[in-house]
Amino acid sequence: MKIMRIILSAIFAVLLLTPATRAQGQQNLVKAELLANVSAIAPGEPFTVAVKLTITPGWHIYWINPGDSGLPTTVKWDLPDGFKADALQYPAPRRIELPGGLVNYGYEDDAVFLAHITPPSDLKASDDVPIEAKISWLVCKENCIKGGTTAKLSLPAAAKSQAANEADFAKWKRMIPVNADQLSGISINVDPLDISDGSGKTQIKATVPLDNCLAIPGPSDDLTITCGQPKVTANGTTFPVEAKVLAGQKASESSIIVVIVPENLSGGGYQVMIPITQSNKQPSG
Amino acid sequence: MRKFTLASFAAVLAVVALAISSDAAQKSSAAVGQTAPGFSLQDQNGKTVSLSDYSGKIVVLEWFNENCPFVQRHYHAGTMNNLATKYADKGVVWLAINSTARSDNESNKKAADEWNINRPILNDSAGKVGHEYGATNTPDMFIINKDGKIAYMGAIDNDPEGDKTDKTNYVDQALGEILAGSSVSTPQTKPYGCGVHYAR
Repeated sequence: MKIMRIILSAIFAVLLLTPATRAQGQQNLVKAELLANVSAIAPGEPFTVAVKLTITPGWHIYWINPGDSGLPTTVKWDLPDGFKADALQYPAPRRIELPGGLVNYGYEDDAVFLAHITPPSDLKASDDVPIEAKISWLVCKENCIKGGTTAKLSLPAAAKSQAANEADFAKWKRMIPVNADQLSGISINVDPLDISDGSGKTQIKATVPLDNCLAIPGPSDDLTITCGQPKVTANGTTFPVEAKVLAGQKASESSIIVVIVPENLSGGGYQVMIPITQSNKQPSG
Repeated sequence: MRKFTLASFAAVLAVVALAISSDAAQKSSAAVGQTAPGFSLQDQNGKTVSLSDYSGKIVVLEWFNENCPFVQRHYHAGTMNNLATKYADKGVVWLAINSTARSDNESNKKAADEWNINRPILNDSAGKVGHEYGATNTPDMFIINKDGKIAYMGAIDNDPEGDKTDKTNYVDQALGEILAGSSVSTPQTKPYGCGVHYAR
């Protein structure tokens, strides 16, 4: 009889893993939450909102450059009159390799995006200032599912603001790549990329050895950007970058972004802006 | 003497490893203006279809995966079916290619029946042709001109999110230009979609 019970339990357990369960799981592949670094908003005083996304294990969403496939994760803010949101700050992405040599850039498990929001200087006291973020993503494992949600946060408006969630925001800020031109102690430089002939190369040079870091290209409509293997020595690190103009296109971008991130995502790494130059002659071919 | 040999052996191994690990996409020879790689694949009815069967014709290749939401959106909107029909009268051949690892003639036939696809869906589940063309997405579009050279490669249109009211269909535009004897104004764009699910 005990054996029967064991067998029945096993069958029951297997039945729990049927498509019904899987379908239900697919409803909530990405969960979103909004948090602020203040407990009250003060007139004219900028604060930071975090868009915290939790992703079902095994699935991933995408960075602003998704790589060979996918769609960037985006946030559109719905704010009261007079409020302004700065550009969304993306945390350092992971390099995700797919069979066949395809590469994506994105996030697994969780990703926290930050935005600085500035309230109007004539903000009146209130119990409820509604902040809404319309979030869109493509979440993929073997198949891809387009999804999104509207996440909401309500904060009081008062004469004085108070800090909140300080430890979390410090942790999340550390995952955002730091602009290379705002560094002290280490220096990261790059020569402009000249694509007059339809393609070009340059090197990002750091004055310190950056072990186990990789360079990830940012988005571009008219250029295919490839980052090669970094070379680390005791004196510094070079990250080779190549760009090729798409056939028949005129490259219109004056700069591209490359982020240098630790492979183990122990920090946010650095963001480098590479100027693009070209002479005025027509692209060949 | 032994130390030197070991070091150079390790160096050779590293170079070989790097060469092997380089992107599969780099094996692709497909580029605008270059001769399109030939192929022979089975369609959903088991019939062998070769690119050389259409020598001298304009051929559109469409990388396909019925499980991809981008492909689904386009088939629900009739994008590919309508375009293929529009240009069939003008002698343009339209072939879908499925490089998804676990696809087969049967699953391609099922998709063709469900979506009224009256043209070949070619079985490239081994991924060989996909790699030769450097196909990265579904959909990923290639137009081969009458001279066998690639005249367009990239996205079906400029609307990855599917929310543009005024979109440009690059394939429609390029086919119109080719048939009018003009040069293709936009010969290459970045494709968008799901990644091709290669076996390896």
